[in-house]
Amino acid sequence: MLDPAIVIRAFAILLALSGCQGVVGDPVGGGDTEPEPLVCDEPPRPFPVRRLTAEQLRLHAFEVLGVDRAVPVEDEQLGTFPSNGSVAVDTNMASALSTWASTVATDAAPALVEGACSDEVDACLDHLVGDVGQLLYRRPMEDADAARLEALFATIEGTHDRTVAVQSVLEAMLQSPHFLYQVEHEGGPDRWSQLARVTFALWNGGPDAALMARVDELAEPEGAEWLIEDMLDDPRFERGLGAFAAPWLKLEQMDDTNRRTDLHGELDAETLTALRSQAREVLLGAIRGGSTYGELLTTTEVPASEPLRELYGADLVEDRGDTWRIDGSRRKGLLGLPGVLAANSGPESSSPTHRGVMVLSNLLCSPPPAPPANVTTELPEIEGATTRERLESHRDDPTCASCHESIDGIGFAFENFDWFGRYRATENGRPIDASGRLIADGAALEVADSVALADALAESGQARECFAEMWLTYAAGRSPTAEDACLMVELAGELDTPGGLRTMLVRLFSSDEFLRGELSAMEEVSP
Amino acid sequence: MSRGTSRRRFLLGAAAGGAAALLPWTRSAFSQGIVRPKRLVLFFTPHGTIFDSGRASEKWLPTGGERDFVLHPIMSALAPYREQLILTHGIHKRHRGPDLGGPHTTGMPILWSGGGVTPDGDFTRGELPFGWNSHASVDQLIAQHLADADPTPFDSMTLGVASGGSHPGSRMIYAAPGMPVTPVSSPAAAFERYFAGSLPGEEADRERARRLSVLDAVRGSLSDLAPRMPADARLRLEAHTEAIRGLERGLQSSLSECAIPDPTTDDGLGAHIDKQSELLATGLACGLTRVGSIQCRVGENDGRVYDFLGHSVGHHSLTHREPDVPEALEQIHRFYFERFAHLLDQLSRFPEGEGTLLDHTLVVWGSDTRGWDHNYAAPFVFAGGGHSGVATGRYLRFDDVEHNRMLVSLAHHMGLDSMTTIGDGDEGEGPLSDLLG
Repeated sequence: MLDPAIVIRAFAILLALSGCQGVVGDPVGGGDTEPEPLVCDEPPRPFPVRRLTAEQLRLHAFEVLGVDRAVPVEDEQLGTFPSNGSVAVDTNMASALSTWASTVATDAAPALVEGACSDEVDACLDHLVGDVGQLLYRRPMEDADAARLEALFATIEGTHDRTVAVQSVLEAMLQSPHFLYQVEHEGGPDRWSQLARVTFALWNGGPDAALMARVDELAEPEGAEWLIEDMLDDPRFERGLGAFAAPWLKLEQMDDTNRRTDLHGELDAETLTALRSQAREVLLGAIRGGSTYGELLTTTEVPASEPLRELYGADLVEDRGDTWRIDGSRRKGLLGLPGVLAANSGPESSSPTHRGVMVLSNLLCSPPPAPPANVTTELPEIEGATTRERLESHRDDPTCASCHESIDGIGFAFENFDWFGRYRATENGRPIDASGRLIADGAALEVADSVALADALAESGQARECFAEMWLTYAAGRSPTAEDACLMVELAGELDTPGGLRTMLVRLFSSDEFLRGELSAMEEVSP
Repeated sequence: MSRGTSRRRFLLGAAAGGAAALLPWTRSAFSQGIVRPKRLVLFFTPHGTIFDSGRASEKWLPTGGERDFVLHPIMSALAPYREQLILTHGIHKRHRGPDLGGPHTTGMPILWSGGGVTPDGDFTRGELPFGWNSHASVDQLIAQHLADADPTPFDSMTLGVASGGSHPGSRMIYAAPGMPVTPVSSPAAAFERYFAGSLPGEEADRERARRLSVLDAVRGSLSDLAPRMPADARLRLEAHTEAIRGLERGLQSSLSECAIPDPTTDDGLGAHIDKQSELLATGLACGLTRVGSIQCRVGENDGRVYDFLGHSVGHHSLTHREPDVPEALEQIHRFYFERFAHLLDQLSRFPEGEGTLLDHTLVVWGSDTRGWDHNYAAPFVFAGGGHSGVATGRYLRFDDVEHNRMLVSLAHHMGLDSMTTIGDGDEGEGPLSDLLG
């Protein structure tokens, strides 16, 4: 039974996506009208049919054929997560995919020719079109497709040789829509489409033969839950989690060698990798171990990471071998991780703005609008000033103040951490003022520092619903709509149950909405 | 008009054009030297110029009059081409409808299509979601017109360098509403796309035949599946099928009369842009196409730090330091005008008729915004085309005209003279009569 108060709040979050509240003197969270309670009988907006991301194509080809080649096609940048659900493949993109397919096929063909394709044509085609094709397409091959590929094989073996024939068939399969897209048929997803939905979301790659053999388990709710539990415990879930976490926590900003000359100039590769992987591991541990949302935000136990030992310094209070206990009065939880802090910094500066925007957008689902036109987003150089003082200049201009009040209010709480995520008590010889202000759940709260901020977020219903909303957005490949609120509220409710994050993910991925949800709208097309 | 409907119309049009385009391509016009076809090249660099008339920071407008104008030093790289230029002032980029996604985002689709982004879509930047472009870009309308009238192996060559992810803020070329054309963003990929299929020789012929067989199977699979997909995906798969046809067309002929360029290049932004210019000039000279574009980087708040110029602050941040123009910003614009000049160098390498390829190619430089204050007031530079009816060597002042009319002028120049309006920013007054002369 859903708590009506929570339902109303979720609805308000979905519709009032403004991160610009809290100008001094303005009422906080003052909705003009009371939102109406949700009625949970509207079907959710359909999911778009998506082309796989470049990373998914690379991984799936690698796992089936053993050839690892980056795919030179850009993904659609759809807000927080990439999702190739709106534009068509144009000729230039088709050319890049064709070149890629040719390279992979050329590298993969010799092994097949020495193996299953060394002798009888029938045995070769059984393996190539049957076994390999079924894995590449994530479903049994249709007769018409098989016939086309067999004809192609015969043609090329006649003009060239066996190796080139094998290569050509692979090349065609790697450009087939069955390989490139998450194929869904009109009338609803069949069991293979359902399996692909789950697998690409959880593993960021395709199913293997063992998983395909379990496809019928998805038909029953309990079977689906078991299957998803197993997939969460599979090592490949770490990749899927990475595909979620890197955009969610903006960890990928660390990869920008052009902008982040500090990270790339001053840190070794090992430290950079550790910054990134520790954040992912904390989330992974919380999911696999069934932590609650509150525990994720406030944990003082992190995976041990030798390259980060010096960075943690005095924050590390107990070395337990595989894990470290850290000083919870200085930093705690997911947002206290050096990797998250370093990724959301500017070059050699802490950037309260970046940190505030990330928390507002991705932990509270209340993104601030882009800066207005015609303003400089650079901070003034003031000799001896703290970052906080330089940022105060944003407030001089009322157009800046309206948003920066809520952005910087959050960002200032992290001022105890520099661009690298190191704890600091002073900046330019002056003591750090890490007091901030969080506006969440319709109320403003003064916080002393990031530890207090983490405690506040750990209690926030808005943050829980946002976590569910982020996973739903990632999994569905589209922005959330009002119709998603019912599922979101239900998912958010799972975050405080004993199984916590794990239960929420099992619930999401085994839900009717995700597994059997409709496809992209049956758009009326006039001739 | 829904996006689906317009896509369908585009596809029907493309299918009709495709049939004609599959006929064997003859290069008689080129090889016999009878016709010197007009060509068009669009050249983009990010974040406008240093443009602030009336302030001391003005780094853009020439001094002097229509014929005796003096280039501003920021454009000194173009000095050798002074007599082949048209400089303009007073052409404004406008569009109707809501200003979604911010000026750098909207500025990209508006630039060559004259229309903004749609309000229906899943892109987010701040509070309001937005979608793709609402109109096709002028080069693609011209290319589609020429493909019907007088096809070449490629309707257009659309090149780029570091041109970003699939997003309205990083796409300027559009085949139709909601249909961005992906720029081919490296010289190696451009070579594969436009030249590799045309290599001469028996072995190359055999490889062409093999690739056509592969693509035939791919197209069969797409055609089989498309009707069974949900409507929106069906349209995308039909467009994908057309894209495969486009690849097949590129495999129809060998370029025995054409010197195949070498795509290898030094590292670095400048070297890559210059190599793309060389490939495009070669393609135009060989008759691969008559319409081309080069997109250098992106419009969407491009924060690239020009470290090779010694900078530590990104381009976008530098632009908003105006009116105190930092030296660093001048260096960036000088760098890009040098690239533009290099493109003109490349086009001048090919003799044609009494002049060079440049004399038969109209090159237009444009950008996402004007400069620090956005506002879409647009800096444009026109170059070349002097032997195909363009009156060059002029500095023209317009009285606040829509850039849509400039785009219509480009269409008329290229033979698409049925066009009276483009995008949504003008009132259908037709081309700018004085612009190209």
